[in-house]
Amino acid sequence: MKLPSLLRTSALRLALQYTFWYTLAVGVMLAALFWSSNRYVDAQLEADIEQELSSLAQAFHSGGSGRLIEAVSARAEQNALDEGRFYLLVTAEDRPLTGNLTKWPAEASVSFDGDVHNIWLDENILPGKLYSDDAYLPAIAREFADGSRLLLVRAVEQDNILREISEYLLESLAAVVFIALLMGVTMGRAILRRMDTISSTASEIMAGDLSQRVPVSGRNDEFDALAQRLNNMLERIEGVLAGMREVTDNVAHDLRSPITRIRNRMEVTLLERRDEKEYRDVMEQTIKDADTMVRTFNAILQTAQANAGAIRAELLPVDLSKLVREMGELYVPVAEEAGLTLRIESWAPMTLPAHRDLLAQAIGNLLDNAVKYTPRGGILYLELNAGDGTVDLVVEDSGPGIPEKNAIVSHSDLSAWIPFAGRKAMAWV
Amino acid sequence: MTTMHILLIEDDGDAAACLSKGLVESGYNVDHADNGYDGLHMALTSRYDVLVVDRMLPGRDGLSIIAMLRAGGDATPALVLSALGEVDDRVAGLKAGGDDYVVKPYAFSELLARLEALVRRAHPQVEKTRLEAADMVLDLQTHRVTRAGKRVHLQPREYRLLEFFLRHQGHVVTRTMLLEQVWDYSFDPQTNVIDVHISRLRNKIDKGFGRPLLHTVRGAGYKLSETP
Repeated sequence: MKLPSLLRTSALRLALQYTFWYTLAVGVMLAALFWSSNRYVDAQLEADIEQELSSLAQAFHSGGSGRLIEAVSARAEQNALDEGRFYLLVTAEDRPLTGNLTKWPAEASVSFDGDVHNIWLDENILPGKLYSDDAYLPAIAREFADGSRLLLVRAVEQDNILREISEYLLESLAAVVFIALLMGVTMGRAILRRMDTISSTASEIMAGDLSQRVPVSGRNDEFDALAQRLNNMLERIEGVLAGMREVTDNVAHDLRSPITRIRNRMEVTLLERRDEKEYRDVMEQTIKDADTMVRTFNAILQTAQANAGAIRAELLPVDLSKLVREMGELYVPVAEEAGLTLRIESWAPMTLPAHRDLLAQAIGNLLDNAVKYTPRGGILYLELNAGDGTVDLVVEDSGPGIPEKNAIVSHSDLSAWIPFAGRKAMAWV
Repeated sequence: MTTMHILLIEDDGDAAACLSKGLVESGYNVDHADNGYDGLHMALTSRYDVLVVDRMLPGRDGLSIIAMLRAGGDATPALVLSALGEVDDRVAGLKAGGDDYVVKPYAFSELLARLEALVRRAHPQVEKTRLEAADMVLDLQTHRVTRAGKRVHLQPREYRLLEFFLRHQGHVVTRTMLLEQVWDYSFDPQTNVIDVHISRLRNKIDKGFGRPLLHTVRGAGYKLSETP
């Protein structure tokens, strides 16, 4: 399939929808990842600063304020600007003892509860103009027994770390969008390819080759189910058409014989002068043949109508069980005459919108056939059973049955005769 | 009974000639119109006992002629002849005001029997309490049937069959008419369903009573009368 036609397809719409939702899902995932990285960096920092404070406190406990000053000075010098670690040790009177911060920040922002808090640092507190503006940095403070106070501040550029992470995440998101789009288009094209096979089969069938079938991939997916269903439908249509062809052939045969008979009988009669009785006989036979032809002709029309599903008549409420009882009663003597027993089973009253005369004709045809083809001593059943949302009208006999190849036609003929509104009718012979 | 007057509206000349001949020979007076306008004009200006109207006609179709007559209060019985034999075509024909509907190809005897039934229906007899034929009596109130004074036991459907025959005494009734009137079905049975019922009725009312009353009319149907 060329790309421009792909743009007009529902496959592309599907691909875009797929891309959108996939990207959204991955985006949410990446945001969660960013958030947890942020938390992780913070936690690392806090642990680091707390650990450093406790090691300095250890220095105070072991060697007093002199040892502490020494340790703080050493660290302040070593870590000054490059690592962003800041220290300040002040006396009880706020006089700086050592450290790389210029003065103790505003009293209110520092607490001594042993936890890490973010505090405001004016630009004049931080040395070397590390930041062009005021900074809001994590800090921890401790007051020692001699009243001196120690402040540890971390200016580690976690923002940079997070910026790096988010850049990385955005890049992956872009990759995800690209991959999703690629997957969507691939999927779309795969769907289109399978639709194309169905559509091209349909074209071939429309061109007249009813034996074509939609290829089934064997993957047992929805497309296979659709293909299978279409194939079943085609099978059915082909069967009905074949049945109709057979009916037409039979009918041609059934009409040709009496027409030939009538024509030749009359021609032969006219060859010589005959007495009145002979003329009368010929005419009576001709009428009989004509009646047979009319009957055959009506049967063809009915079959054709039924097969075409062309029963347009209005449906009226019909009490099916009453109909079945009456038809049974009509045929009981016929069955008895033929040495058969006709059993009627129809208990529950059942009223449905249907076509009374056509139903009667259908039951009549089935019973006619059953009577005709069941050997003497046989039993016929006429049953009406209500199922779950269905009504089964069953004419059953103990006769030889109908050959498999005609069964489909018989069934379709009958279902066309019984146009129940919204209900399914079934019948067997 | 005076001679019945029939108006035949049929555009097929051969069919009309054949039908007219048959009807005249059966004792009817027949006027023929070969298109819808003439047919309607004749139906409006003369009195007829029954109309035989082809459904598809040049000029004005058969059903509209009947509908027009009915709208004007004319209740002359009308029989529709039609090549359209689907159930809804039949229903449309009867809805338009037709009293009976015969589908082509039809048997002349069928048409004749139906026409006679239509004419009889149009001239109803005084409602009787009993129907009689020779020594057979059917009591409409007690539903008792006797022949030569002997009680005849009939099934409900056999009773209705006999009642129908008695009401059409002396006239041919076809199998289709029986199925329609006694069983209230209009379909075409492929086997001898009606014949079997008739033979059972015959066994009850004729067997052992000397002169038979129920006769078979070859190629047409049955007739209940004292003489064949």
